[in-house]
Amino acid sequence: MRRYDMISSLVFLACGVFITVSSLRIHIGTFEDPGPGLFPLITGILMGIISGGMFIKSCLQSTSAGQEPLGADKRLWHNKSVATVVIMFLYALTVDWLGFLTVTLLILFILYKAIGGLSLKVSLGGAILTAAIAYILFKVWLNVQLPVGPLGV
Amino acid sequence: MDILQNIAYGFSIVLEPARLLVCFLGVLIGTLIGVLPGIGPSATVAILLPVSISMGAADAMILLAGIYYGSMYGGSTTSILVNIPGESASVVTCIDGYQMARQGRAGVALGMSAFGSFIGGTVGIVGLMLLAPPLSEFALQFGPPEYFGMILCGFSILIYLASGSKIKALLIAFLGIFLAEIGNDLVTGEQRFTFGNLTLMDGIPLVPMVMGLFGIAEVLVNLQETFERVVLSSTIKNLLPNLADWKASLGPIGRGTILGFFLGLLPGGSATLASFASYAVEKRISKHPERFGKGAIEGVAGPETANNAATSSAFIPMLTLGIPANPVMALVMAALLCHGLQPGPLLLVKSPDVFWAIITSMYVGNVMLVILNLPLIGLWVKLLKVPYAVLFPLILLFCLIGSYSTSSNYQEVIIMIIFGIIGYLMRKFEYEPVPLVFAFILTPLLERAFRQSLAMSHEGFMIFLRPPIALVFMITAFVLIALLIFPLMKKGASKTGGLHG
Repeated sequence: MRRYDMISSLVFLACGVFITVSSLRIHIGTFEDPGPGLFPLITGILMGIISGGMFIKSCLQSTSAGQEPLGADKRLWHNKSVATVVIMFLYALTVDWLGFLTVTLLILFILYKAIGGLSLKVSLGGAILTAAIAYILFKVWLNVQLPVGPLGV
Repeated sequence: MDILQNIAYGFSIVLEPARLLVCFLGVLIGTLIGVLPGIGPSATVAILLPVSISMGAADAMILLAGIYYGSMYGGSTTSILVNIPGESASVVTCIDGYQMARQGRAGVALGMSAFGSFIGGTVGIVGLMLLAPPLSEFALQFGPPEYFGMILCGFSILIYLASGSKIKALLIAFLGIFLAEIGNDLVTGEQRFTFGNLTLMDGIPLVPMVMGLFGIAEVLVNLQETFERVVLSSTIKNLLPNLADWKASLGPIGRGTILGFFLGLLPGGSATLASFASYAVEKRISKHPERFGKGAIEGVAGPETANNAATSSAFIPMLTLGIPANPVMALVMAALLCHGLQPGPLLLVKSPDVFWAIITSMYVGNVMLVILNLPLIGLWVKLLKVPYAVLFPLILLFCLIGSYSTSSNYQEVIIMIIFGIIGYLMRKFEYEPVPLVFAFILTPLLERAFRQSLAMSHEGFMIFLRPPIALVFMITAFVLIALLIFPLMKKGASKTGGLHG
C-alpha cells in the first residue's frame, strides 16, 4: 500500500497547491471582513501541509521497509469495472438523443450479457422486463421527466 | 405530559394508512438490502434520494429511516446463514452467528438477533424521544462561534474515530470541504472554482455525488469479487430462544443497548463501531472467552442489539444539532435539505410533524421488522440465492435514473459517474468516503459560522474562545487533534531516528 499512499499523497498535494493558488485570485478580505477566498485558502494550505507530511512519511517507510510490489490481486482497474464505467458514460451521452427506453434496454442487455455473463435468452428477457418495469415505475407512476427519443418513448 | 402529547401527535401522523405503507416499504427495502450482500444502506438511501424528493417531507423521512434501521435487522441474516455480512454493522455477527448455524442453531441465532435488535432499537427510540427535545432547546442558545466550535468538534471526533488511517481521513475531509466551496459564494455571489460551468455555479449537486460515491463505487468494487454463497437453509428451525439462551443474552443485550446508544451519538460512531465495541466488551468480561468464535450466543445478542441502538441514537445529533453522525444520517439530512427543512434546533419548532413522525415511525417500523424477520425468514433465505449478475444492473439503472431525474440534466449523470470513479479509487487507495460526505454537507454551515463570527468580532479569532460553550467545543477539538497528531509525530521521529541510527 505504500506506493499507493505515495501516489495519493502527491495527488492531494497537487490539489492543495491548486486550491491555494486559485484562492489567491479570489477576494480574500481581512479577518474582520473575510472574503470568499479566505476559507478555500486555509483549506488549500492545510491540505498541502498534511499531504506533504503523508508523502514524506510514506517515502521514509518505503526506504526503511522496501517497496511493496503491486500483485495481481491488487490491480487498480479490472476489465469489468472499466467496461461498466464506459457503458455508463455512453448512457449519459446518448440518453437525450435516443430516448430513455431504447438506451435503457440496450444498456441493460449489455450489462446482463457482457458484464454479468448471463445467457442470451436470460439477458434479453431480463433487459426487456427490467426496462419495462423501470418505465412504468418512473415515467408512468412517479411521473419523472425522462427523455423521449425518435421512437416517441 | 408534553412528550405524551407529542407521541400521540406523531402516531396520529404515522398511523394513516398511506404512511403505514411507506413505513412498511422502508423497512422491507431495508431488510432486503440488509439481506443482500453487495449493497448497503448508504448506497440504497443515496439511490432512493431522488424518489424521496418527490414525496412529502414526513413520508420521505419515514421511508429513509425505515431503510436504515431495517438494514440492521436484515444484515444479520446473511452473516448467520452465509458467513457474508449483508452490511458492515453485521460483520462481527458472522463470527459466532455462522458457527451457531453450523451447529444447527441458526434459528436461535436469527431469533435472538431479531429480539436483541428490537430491544436495542426500541430503547434507543425512547432515548431519542427523551433527549432530543431538551437538546434542541439547549442548541437554540448557539450563535455563530458556538456553531463553528461544535462543527469543528464534530470533525475532530469523526477523524479521531475513523477506522483506517487518520491522516487519510483528514485529507479526505479537506477534499469534502473543497468540493463544498465550489460554486457561487454564499455571501458575495462571487464564483469559486466553477471554470464557467453552469452546472457547477450552483455547487456540486449532492445527490449525484453521494450516488456515485456509494452506489456506483460499491458496484465497481463488487464486480471484481465473486460471492460464494453456501446457504445453511436446512437447519433453520426453533426461532425462539430457550431459557438458557435468554439468561446468557440478557446481559449482552442490556450492555449492547447502552453502549450502542452512546456510540451512535458520536460523529463517526456508527452502528459498525457499536457492534465491534459490544463484541469486544462481551468477550473481555466473559468468564469463558474461549467460547467466543465457536458459537457463543452472547457474540450475536450484544452486537446485534448495539447496532440497532446506535441506529436510533444517530438521529439525535442530526435532528437537534444538524450534525450527521454517519453517512446514512448525512444522506437523510440531505433529504431534509432537499425538502427545504434545515436540520437543527429549529426543526422541532418549525416542523414538529416531521420530527415526531420520524420518531414514532421507528416504533411502528421496529414492530413491523420483528414480524417481517421471524416468520418470513424462509423468504429472505431464498432471496440470498439471487446472483449479483442480476442485481448490479438494477442498482446501476436506479443510480442513472435517479441522478438524471433530479434536474433532467445529463451533466449530473456524468458528475455521478465521475464520483463513482473517485469513490472506487478511494476504496482501492484505502480512503473512507464518510469524512468527505460529512465535510461536504457541513462546510456551508461551518464557513458561514466562521465568517459571521469574524465579521461580528472586534478581536479576530478570540471570538471563538470567549463564549463558554464555544470554548468547551474548541478545547475538545484541540485535545482530539493533539491526541491525533502527537502519536503520528512520535512515530515519524522514531522512524527518522531509526534511519539515522
